[in-house]
Amino acid sequence: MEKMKKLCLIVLAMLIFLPCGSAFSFELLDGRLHDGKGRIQQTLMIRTHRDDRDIQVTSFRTMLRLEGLFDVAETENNTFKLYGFFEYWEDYAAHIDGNLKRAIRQEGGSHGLQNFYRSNEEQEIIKELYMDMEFGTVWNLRLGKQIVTWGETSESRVADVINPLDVTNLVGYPDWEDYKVGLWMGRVFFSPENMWSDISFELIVIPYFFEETRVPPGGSGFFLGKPIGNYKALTHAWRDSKPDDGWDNTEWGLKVRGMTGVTDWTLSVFHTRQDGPPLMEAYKANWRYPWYTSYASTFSRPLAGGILSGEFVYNADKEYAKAGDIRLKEKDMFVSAIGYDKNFNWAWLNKINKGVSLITNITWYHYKLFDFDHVTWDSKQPESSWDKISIKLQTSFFDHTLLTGIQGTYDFNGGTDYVARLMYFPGDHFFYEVSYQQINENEAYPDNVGNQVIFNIRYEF
Amino acid sequence: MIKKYSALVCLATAALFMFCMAPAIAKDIKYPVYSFDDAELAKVRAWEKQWVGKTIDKSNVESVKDFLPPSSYDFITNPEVWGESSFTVVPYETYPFTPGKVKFTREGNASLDENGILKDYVAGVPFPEPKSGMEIGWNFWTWNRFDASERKAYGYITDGRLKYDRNIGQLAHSMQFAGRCDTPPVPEVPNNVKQIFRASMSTWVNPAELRGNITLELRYKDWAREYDAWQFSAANRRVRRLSTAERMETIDGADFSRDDSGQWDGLMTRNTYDIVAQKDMLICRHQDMTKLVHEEGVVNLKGWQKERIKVWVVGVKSKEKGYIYSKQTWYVDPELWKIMYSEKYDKYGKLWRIQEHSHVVQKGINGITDVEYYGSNGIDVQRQHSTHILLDPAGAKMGYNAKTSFFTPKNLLKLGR
Repeated sequence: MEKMKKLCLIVLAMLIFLPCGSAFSFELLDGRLHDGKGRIQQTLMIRTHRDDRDIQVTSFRTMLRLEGLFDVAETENNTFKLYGFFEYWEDYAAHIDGNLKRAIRQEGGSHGLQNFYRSNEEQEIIKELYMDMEFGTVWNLRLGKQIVTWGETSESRVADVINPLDVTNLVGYPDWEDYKVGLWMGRVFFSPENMWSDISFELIVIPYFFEETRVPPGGSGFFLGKPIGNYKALTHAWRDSKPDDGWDNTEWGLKVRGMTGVTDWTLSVFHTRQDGPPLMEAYKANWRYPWYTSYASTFSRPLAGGILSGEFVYNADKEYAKAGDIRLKEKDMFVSAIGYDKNFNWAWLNKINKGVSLITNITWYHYKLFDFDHVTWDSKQPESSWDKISIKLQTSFFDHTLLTGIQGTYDFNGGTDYVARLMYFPGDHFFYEVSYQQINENEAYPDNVGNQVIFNIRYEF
Repeated sequence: MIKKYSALVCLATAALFMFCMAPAIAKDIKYPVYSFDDAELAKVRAWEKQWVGKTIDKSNVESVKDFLPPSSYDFITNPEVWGESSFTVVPYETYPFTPGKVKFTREGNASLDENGILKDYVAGVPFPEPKSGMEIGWNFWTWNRFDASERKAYGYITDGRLKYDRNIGQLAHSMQFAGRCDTPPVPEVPNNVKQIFRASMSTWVNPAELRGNITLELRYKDWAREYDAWQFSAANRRVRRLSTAERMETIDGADFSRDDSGQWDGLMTRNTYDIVAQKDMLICRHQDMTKLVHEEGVVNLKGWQKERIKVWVVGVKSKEKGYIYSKQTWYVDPELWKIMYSEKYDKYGKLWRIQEHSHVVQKGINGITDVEYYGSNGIDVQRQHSTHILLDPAGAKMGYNAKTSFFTPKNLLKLGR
């Protein structure tokens, strides 16, 4: 019955929106509902090598996404708008691959299987729903459920730590908004005019509710190698241990943004609970969500025809614990990321794909734990510091209808992965993609079990 | 002795006065400057008696070959490649010269420094009677139409070989921070701390993969300073700076880059400019936009209306090694000082792209009648590929009261959600 209700809602939404598609996306209610857009997406993920669970299909997911902006009221200086962003998905992989269903049932339980089949909760379906209020050009207030992006890097989250992630939705290569969990919050922008370096301020207050990082059910495609015996209990405890709703969950953050010369910069502080708890008394399935404070600065500026950008984050009192050890020690961590984006317009490439460059990015990440004395859960490495480099190359052919790209990460402490993507945009609405993802063999992922081919078909309207 | 020194002081004072006042005295600026003098106009009117109202197509294009850019002639004579192409001849009509533009042009004192960089420019047309290609380039580059505008552009990216279209759409805002002519405050907004000359904000609505992306570009009064540009990427909800190299990047399969916006939107210092000719040509200056139509899979637009005008033909050569265009030919209107038609050559000197604009005279919200382009035809002649942009003049907000705070990176972040 519940499923029918959701399907009816989807069909209704499509009936409303689809006939209204135009060159300027949806406009309804005399243009008061505008900037509407949507997406229907089908993804298939197939493993090239099988692990002990003998799973081949890890995801076969249909996803619907809708968003729009509604003008509530407007006066000479003030505007009030309501923004909504909704997403619903169903995954049929467990119906296709019996081994997957069996693995999830064994390691994730029936609740895990239920979570694997479809988005079940309001948090998953209502991604964003907030009132955007502008008071002149100086004050802007946003109240409601929101997804926030702080930071400059796109491959890994360094300063961008406001919203927890829903790793269950890490299917194919989704946009960040597909797998960030929206949070109910108040967000105030203060943009005084004629400030030195064009400085503006952003204050975030996330009261009462706490949302943790959402992990996929045990046995699902995100788990590689040998089955995990007690994972069901661990994930139950993960959720059960999260703090009850209350004002003492209130998180806050402040960001200052400016532009000095040709350099854009930000300074920010965010006081928050850890979205994913440090492993504590793991085998007793006891978790905590301690508080820590993240201090961050970012910059980006043109340099030699490209863009140099960086992020520096100091996580004070963020807890890390030794895997399998009941001891817990407070740690401070410093993370930096320096990236360089440059487009190369080579003559030989131009001959093939007129006017299109090779788009490149290289980013170096450095992680340093202070007060280090044992192995950490986060890094899985015995060192107190570790580094990784990510590289991204992308170009397109046939008037941007065929996009090719490769991106990879080299971890100095071991572990390399890359993905090669081929995307085809034949017209205004359809998008086809085939990707190959390779995770190099290591102790955790022997026999190439992490490698898979991903097919993605998308219709945007 | 005293007399002698007094005489010397008087002479020196007079010389100093003459030296200081010389530019002002010499600047007897004539503006507006029309395309034709009376005698020339009489000849044009006589010619028009024979041609106005006629449709020029393959059957009769030979008669007006000398009035067309070579590429335009080729489009008409090779319909099997470019599709049926034609235009109608309409009578020459002068453009309106806005009161502010007339005032600031007449009061102007602009000149070029030893490096060919514009100096002492305030607003209006810096060189209404240009003597060099560089001066024509500056006349174009300092364009200001309506001081601010908001326009919805829609169009088609067309593959002439496979005969199919993709849709393209953009909401475009533009505002002059300096060089303003008619909409108060003139000639510059107060507290222009960053010394911005012009700003633009473009929101993509099509194609789907670009939808929601917003680009902010700032051009500065320091003419040699590279633009600052940022883009809000809807896919990862991030505002990122765009590098200068990205300005020459083809925009999502269209037949232009950011440097091609408005025919040319790169730095003036990037090229050399030489006058090739000043000749009568048939150019689209007053277009009934309802007659300019796109047909699916056809590279050229139909329904052009063109009039005879004496354009400046300017040869433009890139000084930058590796730049996407080795050279360009600009056909510049002598009244609007806008590039009306351009031919752009690739790194190997082979004709690559042409761009043609259609123009409409209209009254703005500010009560000023001015000219803006509402149609753009960009053709990649090497691949039979085109991008047609068509705008509805009725839906545009020309000369609206734009706010400077709209054109800031922090607003880009707000607009991006």
